[in-house]
Amino acid sequence: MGEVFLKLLNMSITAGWLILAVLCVRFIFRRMPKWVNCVLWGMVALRLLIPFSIESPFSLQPSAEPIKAETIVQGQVVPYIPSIDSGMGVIEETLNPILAETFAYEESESVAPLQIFTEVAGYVWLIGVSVLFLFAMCSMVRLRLMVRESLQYEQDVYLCDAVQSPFILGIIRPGIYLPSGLNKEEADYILAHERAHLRRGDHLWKPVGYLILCIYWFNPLCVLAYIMLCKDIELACDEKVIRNMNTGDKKEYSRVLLACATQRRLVMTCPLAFGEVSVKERVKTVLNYKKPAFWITIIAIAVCVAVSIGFLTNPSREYEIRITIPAGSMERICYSDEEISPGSNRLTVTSGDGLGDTEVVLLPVEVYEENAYETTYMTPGMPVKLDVEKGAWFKIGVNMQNPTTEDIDVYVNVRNVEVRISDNDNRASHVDGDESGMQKQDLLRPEANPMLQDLAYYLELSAPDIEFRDMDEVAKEKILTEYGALLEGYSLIARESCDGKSAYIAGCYNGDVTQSPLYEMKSVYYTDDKGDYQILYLQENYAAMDRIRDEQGVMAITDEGYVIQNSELNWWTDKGTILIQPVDTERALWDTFAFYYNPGRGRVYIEDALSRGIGMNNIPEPYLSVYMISDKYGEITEKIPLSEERAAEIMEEDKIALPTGEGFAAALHIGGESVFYPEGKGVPQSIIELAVEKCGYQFAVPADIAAPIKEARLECSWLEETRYLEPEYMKRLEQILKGAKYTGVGNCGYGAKLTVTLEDGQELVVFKGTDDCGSLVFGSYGGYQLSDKADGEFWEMFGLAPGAEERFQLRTN
Amino acid sequence: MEIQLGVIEARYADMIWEHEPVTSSELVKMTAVEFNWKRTTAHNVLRRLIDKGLFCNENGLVRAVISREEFYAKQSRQYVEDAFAGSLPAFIAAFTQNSKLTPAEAAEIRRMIDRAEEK
Repeated sequence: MGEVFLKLLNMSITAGWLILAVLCVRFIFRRMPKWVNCVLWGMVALRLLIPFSIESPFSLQPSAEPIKAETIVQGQVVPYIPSIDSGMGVIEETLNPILAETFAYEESESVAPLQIFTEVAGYVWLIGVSVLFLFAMCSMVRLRLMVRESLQYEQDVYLCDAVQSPFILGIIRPGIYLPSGLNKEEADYILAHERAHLRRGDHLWKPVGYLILCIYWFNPLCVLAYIMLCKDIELACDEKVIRNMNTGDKKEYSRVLLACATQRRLVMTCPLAFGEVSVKERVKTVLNYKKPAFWITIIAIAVCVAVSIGFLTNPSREYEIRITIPAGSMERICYSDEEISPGSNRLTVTSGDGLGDTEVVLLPVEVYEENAYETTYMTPGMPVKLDVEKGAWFKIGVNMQNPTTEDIDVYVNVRNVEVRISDNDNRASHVDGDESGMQKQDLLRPEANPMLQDLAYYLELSAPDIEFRDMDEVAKEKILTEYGALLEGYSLIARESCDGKSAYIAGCYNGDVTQSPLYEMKSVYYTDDKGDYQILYLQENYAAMDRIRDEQGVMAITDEGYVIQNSELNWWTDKGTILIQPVDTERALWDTFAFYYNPGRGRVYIEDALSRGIGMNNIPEPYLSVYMISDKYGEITEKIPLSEERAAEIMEEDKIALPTGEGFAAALHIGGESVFYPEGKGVPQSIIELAVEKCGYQFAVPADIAAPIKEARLECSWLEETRYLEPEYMKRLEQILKGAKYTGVGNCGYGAKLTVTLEDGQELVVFKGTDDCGSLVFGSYGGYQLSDKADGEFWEMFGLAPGAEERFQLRTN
Repeated sequence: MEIQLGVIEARYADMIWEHEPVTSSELVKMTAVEFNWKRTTAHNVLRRLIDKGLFCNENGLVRAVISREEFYAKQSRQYVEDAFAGSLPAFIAAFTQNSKLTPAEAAEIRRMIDRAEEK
């Protein structure tokens, strides 16, 4: 209710300007035919009835919404405090602060004073409307009752005893009612007048006007307008009647006017004297009437058009031009992305949301004249007028810095401009000297990020028979919108295959990776004797990644390469899937493999990009890479080239569960695909054979010592020379080795290599842990354990200290 | 005593005098035909005429109390002041309304009219 009332109040104020204009025009152009006045009042009615209007730069209305239910205090929009928008700074400056104080409220109040005020006002208004409406209804009923006692005089004309003055009743089928005591001549003139009313439609316009008045009763200008309307209707009607009369007839008509006026007693029960035109004025008008010349009609029409353009239209729309002040920006001036083109030589700007006192300046983007544009001081509530080149394009800049870590958006309001988004090229040069990380705008401008460019290039290299193009704007927007929160801070490139089956968005996090939405910063606490510690670490935000993957069928990778895909994922990559390598391609294979392959998490295996040759060695032929981890020998990687058939054989082979030991693994790479056989998974026999054949790996168990040991030598990186076992200990060694217990756990990392030669010529390699763990690795593969006693014995046999520290001493010496 | 009749009342009275004695329902039918009046209207005006002492109604039969000639001999035709107490509402298109004219003003206007010349 309150809102309705406020809207009506605003409408009546804007109509008020029109009414004042019409009153002026009426006065200035009093020589004009009176029907023109009626047209002008018709425009007032339009303004009051239609809640909207078109905008035009020629509008003389000071404002489309003179009373707003909000105000701007120190740059912030505050609702429920009224403010006046009159187009005249003086009024606003004086009244708005008073209004703000009067209607001030606390945040905690549930209802603002303004709301109460407008609600109450709304109900008062409604009561007023009802009263007026009821009054009209009652009058109508009384009239209708009265004229039941009537006699028909002519078609649609009736005589009635009780009428004082002739009038028309009814809208659809109007009837003329005359007092019963008229003579013929009088009756004829009167009928001419009433019929003129009918032809003009006054029996309709007057009630319509009254209805409008019922709604806008609270505005004295509207009341005045209706009074004037009634007057003008009467005068216009008189004019219509006497248009073609000669003076004699006019005199007679005047006499009838007079006669009707004098015959009545004055009865004033109606408190408002509507449309009262004095008889004197009417007689004067009649007697002095001259048919207007043609050109007067033209002028009249021109005046009507001018008034309608000036007051029926609304002033041009106000645009809010946004300027984003980037986080940490200390630049003097920050410019808007949007560009404006003024519709005239003067541009009015006002501070909008977020701006206090500041300097504003225009930056020419497309101009034809050489003009200097200097900064101007702008205060909230005070519009500033700038001289501009009409039709040129400018960016708006404000002098504002942002020491916080978040971007700030501020707004400058302008009117009567065209607005457009600037091109990329313009943008870079206007954000002065930004190097500290990319801005949010970069989400849309990956051209600024060369790393991303490379990434995209390499990605597409890996799928040579798929053609890509930039992702459809709608699709990209959809993804960006849905995952906006997650993608914030990333520079992105969005590309899709031309057949629509695959797509990727490659991204790169711009800021501090601890702020990445894909990571959560976690902490653990621990205490030792030195003190309390909090350790911070990054944990992947699986929930966020899963959400992206599950909902959109996408895949998330590291902070360095963040990829979204919407194609079907496959363990064995086919042409439809694009995988991505980490941008840092220097990573070791092991690292890559260990990092990405995590079946427990359900994450899809990310192919080793190296093997696909993205950016690195391009090896399309199948090969087997075999490796073992040990301290002495480091990572052993052997690449064994294979034929396609051989590779296929391996793939199809039944897995053989062999005793596992850490340190041996293999990967089969075929045409860019990789199959891993790490410990824990059965390694195919043929791989074992290949490892033995090509790499000299040994796969042995203690039982393989089938013949007596002929020789045993020990090699160790910290031994200056190879140690040979004394023959008297050979038997004991055999016992010790055969007595070792199988653990499956392999090499502890500190190893010496023991090579045992048997009497039948067979050689056996055993890795021996050189610390206290007593572990052995038979061949390349089998993990065994010695008892502590046996372990000590072993070392003594070779002339080394039984305890690890002593051996360690030896080692470091 | 002066009884004032409006023109329409006079017409109705004439009709009654012409047909009296007549039942009120007959009158209703006749006024419906002649004047297009509703039943209640006919009754209302009849009531007024009866109150003014012209007619009487006995059990639905209307007859004259005073004859037509007698009545008109006593009356002079003049304009009726209003039976309708109240001016016309603002939204009614009319001829003139509520003008207060003193005799002096009326005279002035009359002179204005008389003096107007051919143009």
